[in-house]
Amino acid sequence: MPSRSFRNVISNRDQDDLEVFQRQLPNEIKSPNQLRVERTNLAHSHAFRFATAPLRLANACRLVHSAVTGPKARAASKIDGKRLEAAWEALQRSWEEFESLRSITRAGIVGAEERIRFVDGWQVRPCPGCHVDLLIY
Amino acid sequence: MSDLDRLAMYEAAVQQVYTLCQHDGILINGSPEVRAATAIVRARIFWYAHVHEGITTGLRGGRLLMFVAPLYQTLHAVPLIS
Repeated sequence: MPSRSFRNVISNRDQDDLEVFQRQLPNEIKSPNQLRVERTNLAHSHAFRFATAPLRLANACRLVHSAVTGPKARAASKIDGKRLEAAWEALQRSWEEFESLRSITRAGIVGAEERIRFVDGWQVRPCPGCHVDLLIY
Repeated sequence: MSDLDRLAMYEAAVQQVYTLCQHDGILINGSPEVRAATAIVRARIFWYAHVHEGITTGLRGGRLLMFVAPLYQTLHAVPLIS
């Protein structure tokens, strides 16, 4: 078990991370249109889309971290309902985003088979993990 | 190897990726193509570490070391190759 002071250090750090994260999130991530304008090159924009989808999933997991699994959340006596809800929503949105990647027709360099394997790989593995994890805590 | 050792090594690796991706390295005078390629490789390594940390540490608990902000700066700084 970590000592009390050690845990406090982690909690403070965790809180800082979270604040930076939440400030960045709405502006930077939720503007696919803006990103698309910046990346006019079609292949590049597709690559960018494929690359950022796992990032959003990872960010959803970071929200889970802040709501349930993180040191601060564990130290708290009860689960923060709002954060948990935000985490679930992020997971849901991430799932839908992967689902939408499935139906891109002009995926440039990415072949249809590869694209489906990519989506299946991301959808199957991490998300059951999320459910299990939420059941445990 | 104990769990604590494992955790320490993982955190060290994440820290290292974070630190190494903060600057251009020694390729200041390289041609634009070389610099673009290096930037993409760097962004990819950073991307992988960031996603990996977010999913594994995010779900298991523990300390998150990477911030979100530098990641997007890194991705936006990746030059286009036409």
